[in-house]
Amino acid sequence: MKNRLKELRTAREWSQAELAERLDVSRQTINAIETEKYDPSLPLALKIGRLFKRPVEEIFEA
Amino acid sequence: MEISDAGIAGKGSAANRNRDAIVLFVIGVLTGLGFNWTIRFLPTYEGPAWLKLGISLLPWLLFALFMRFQRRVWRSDELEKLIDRDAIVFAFYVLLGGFIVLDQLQAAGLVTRFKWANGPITLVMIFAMLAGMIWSKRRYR
Repeated sequence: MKNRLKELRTAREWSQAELAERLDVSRQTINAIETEKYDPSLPLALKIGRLFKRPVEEIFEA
Repeated sequence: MEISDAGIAGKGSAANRNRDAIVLFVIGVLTGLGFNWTIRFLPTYEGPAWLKLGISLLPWLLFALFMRFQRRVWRSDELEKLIDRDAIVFAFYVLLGGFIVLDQLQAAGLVTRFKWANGPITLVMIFAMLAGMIWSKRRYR
């Protein structure tokens, strides 16, 4: 699944580790999502949406 | 649930996660040593059967502690849970395939038949699981 996580993260000048800490997941999880190796669960996708104050469908697209 | 710009940092910081992982590792080693000790000690122990049973259950207490702590370390990270699940699936199919191939080789007389014992099977299972975890982690790296 394509996503704009990296774009949103770098716009805020956060490292993967910083974002991981804000979302309470590992840095590996952030990296796997950004490289599209892993699609997050719905709760994590919603958490990402809330953190960036954007609808989930604006961050993730099928 | 509201998440501020600062996120939910502090709930599970990297430092805490590292500390928990180290504690988990120590409990895991102690559990392994506990099982090893009971397996070596029980054959020579000549106490009553109920005490033997009690001693054999001791490492399971450590194992229960390990499982409880393991949930605490990994509860928040869904990818790590997925990696573990993938590793278990990987280990299962590798063992299944390996045993079938071994049986074929034995049937063909290329490998001598041997008696299965608990110890080697347990070791093979542990190594298959570790190989599965390495394979699974590499997939999502």
